[in-house]
Amino acid sequence: MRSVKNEIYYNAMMVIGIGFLLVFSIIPMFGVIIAFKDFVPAKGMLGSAWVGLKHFNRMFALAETRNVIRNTLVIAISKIVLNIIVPVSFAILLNELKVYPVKRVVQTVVYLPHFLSWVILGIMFTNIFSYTGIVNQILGKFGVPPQMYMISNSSFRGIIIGTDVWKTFGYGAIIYLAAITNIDPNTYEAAAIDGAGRWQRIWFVTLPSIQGTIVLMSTLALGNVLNAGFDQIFTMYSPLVYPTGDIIDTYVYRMGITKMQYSFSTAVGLFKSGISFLLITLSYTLANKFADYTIF
Amino acid sequence: MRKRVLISLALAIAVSLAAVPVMAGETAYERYDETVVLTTVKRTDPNAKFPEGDSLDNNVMTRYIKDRINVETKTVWEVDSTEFNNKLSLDIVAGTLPDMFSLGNDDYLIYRQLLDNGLLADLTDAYDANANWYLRDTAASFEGRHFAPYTDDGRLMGIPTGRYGYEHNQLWLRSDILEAIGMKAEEILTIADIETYLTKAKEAFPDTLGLALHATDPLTNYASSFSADPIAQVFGATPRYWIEGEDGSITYGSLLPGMKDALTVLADWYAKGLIDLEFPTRVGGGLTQAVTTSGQAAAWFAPWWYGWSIVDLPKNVEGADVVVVNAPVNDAGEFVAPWPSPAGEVLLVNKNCEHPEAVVRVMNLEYDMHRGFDEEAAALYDESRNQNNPTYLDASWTYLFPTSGVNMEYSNVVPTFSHGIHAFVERGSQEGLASPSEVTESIGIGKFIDGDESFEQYRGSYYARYVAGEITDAANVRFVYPAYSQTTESMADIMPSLLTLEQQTVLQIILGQKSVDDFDAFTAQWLAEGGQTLTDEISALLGK
Repeated sequence: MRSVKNEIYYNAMMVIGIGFLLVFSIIPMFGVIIAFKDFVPAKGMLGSAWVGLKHFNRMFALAETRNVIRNTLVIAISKIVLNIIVPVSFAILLNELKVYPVKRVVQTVVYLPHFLSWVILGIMFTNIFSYTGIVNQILGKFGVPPQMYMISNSSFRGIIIGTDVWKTFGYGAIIYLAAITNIDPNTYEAAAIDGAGRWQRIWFVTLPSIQGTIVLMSTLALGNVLNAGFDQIFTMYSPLVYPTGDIIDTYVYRMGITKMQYSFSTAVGLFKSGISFLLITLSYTLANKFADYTIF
Repeated sequence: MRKRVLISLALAIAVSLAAVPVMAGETAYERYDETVVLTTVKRTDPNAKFPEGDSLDNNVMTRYIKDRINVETKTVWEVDSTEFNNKLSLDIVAGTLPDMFSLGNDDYLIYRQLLDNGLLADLTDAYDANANWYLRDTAASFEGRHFAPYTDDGRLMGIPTGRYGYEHNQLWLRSDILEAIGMKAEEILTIADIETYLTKAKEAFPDTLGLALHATDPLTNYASSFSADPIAQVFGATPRYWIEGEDGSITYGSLLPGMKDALTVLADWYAKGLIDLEFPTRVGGGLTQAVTTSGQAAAWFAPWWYGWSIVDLPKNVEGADVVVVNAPVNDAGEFVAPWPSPAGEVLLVNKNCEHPEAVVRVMNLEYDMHRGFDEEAAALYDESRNQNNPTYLDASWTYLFPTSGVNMEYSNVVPTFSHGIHAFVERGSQEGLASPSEVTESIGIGKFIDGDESFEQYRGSYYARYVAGEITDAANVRFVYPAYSQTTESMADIMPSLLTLEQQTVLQIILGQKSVDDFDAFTAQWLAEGGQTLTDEISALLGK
């Protein structure tokens, strides 16, 4: 039974959290007005002159920004797709493994990379893929001439996507493993009695049973279509791979923080946030429709 | 048109200032009856730890200033130098600017904004009546050119320091490698000589990597270690500078035809393995430097002060040592080097400051004490610089200055000091040395040269000041002056994308991903994407 008195305590406890949210997230949001102004620090946010959509027009006129948006989409979508396929396949394969100690060790080991930061992994991969690195040494044994993968536009995206999948698939598999554990063993037995082989059991029992989870995870991932991974790319890229590796977030960082183009970079950032907001709304609607999953 | 008038006025002022050598202003040391308090803001010096009882606003220098002219300093805040501009922007917005503060030459747009919003004090009269002989004499050594960017309508709106020259890139070679392959440093003159050296070095020491190059900016401008711009200079191109041609037209130096020749050389060397193959991957801080200190690099381009960065080399590689040469030279035997933009840092004064002249008087006293022009003050200062007062030894000296961040030097301080050290070490003459601290350093370098191991800490000074600094003004060095060095407003908008384009093109051509002929396409694209606008703008500004 609810009483007003009870609720007062709960509301009071929330005040601090809401206060934090207000001060650090809501109020700073008004800063987006500088995307529509020529921001001059000496004049302040309110004093700077309004310029309407000037910065947005410039953004779409620049070949550079179009390239950045394309890179973001290609990298992010590849990551989203692979980050579903790989963990699902891995979870199913691991589930088929019947030697329990091995299963447990493997499961623990593959999700360890998730806890390493990109600052460390970036340096690691830069060394692994360097001219004298281990990849070139191994390929050299098979007569492949050494290459500098980190500064080659043909391999940089592949490395970014591949290493990201490597880092997260173990962690991502946990939720699918949980879903598989929930499948009623009777369905497997029934299928076996009906003469289904291993592959058929996976195809007709396991996959349909975790379908809901897969759909849910995919729709939720939609909101990340414009998040291609700042930390990772920032630690691994260089001017030579801007054509294939520069994404919205790294571009905004370079323009805004290092080149002090505050208004322009805010416009680019706002554009990204706007699209992301639409995609998140869409993904939650879809999640609600297909998987009965509601957040609000 | 108005700007053109401005510049001519500025030059007129500058010349008139320069024409009055070593005459102190009438009221340069006038004492105030009532204490004047100047507020200021500072960039933190991580090495500064004050002795007990002392602070930023109460130390050997501020006490001297208070004693002489009854002026106190109050530091409102101090932050890390990377945060300084942000914090200052907040002050600008909030209307709480301190009485005085300094900006770097790269912050020119901030100065313009302050000026356009009428937030700065006019310092013309304050400077004229109060600058002492040292301020005037150092300014005169720049022929007053540095005043122009900070002069508005004929009025001086800030006190700039001239940016002293001679920090251009020189060629650093390994003397031990030279010896091993039977070459002499004096023989390394032309591009072909450098190539011979790099080729033989690679043959004799297959583990070395050849020429070290900057990871993202292999051809850039003044005072940038690992930029191979001397190779562009020798072909008549001055990367990243706005240059006035013989016909008076303004061009961006990275577009000059010599760039293609320089890129041809670098691409050829890269293909032959004479340049560090992995140079573009050494993006992180210090990675390229590590190639030089670990003994892997056989050569690199760097300014004189790189001497302090290479001190670990002999520890890492037995018998390794370096030598510095002015190479490559052109057909006329000249080593062509860029001269920096005229202005360095600038001290600005708030329009609301009641005593702008006090700022100038404070500056006078700073140098009187620090350079020892006032003997009593110098004695106090030296007494404070002992082992019990690590602050005064470790912190950068301008940190103690109330006008911190601004450092007045003669335009030729680098070679002059080097020649002074040579005269002292070789002939025992102290004449070329300007201050007691210079004598101390010369003694240290002399002992180091004599092989006294307890003076090993002078190795950096030896390389920088004795070896590299000495040849910065050699007879065959010819300087190229920038036509324009400040930031215009559209430059702040357009330049970042153009620089990215330039970086990529240069890197791709060196790596052989693009041919040198693609440079023409780059030129066209550069001009089309805003470069032409900038060129026109600067030409108009300079009245061309």
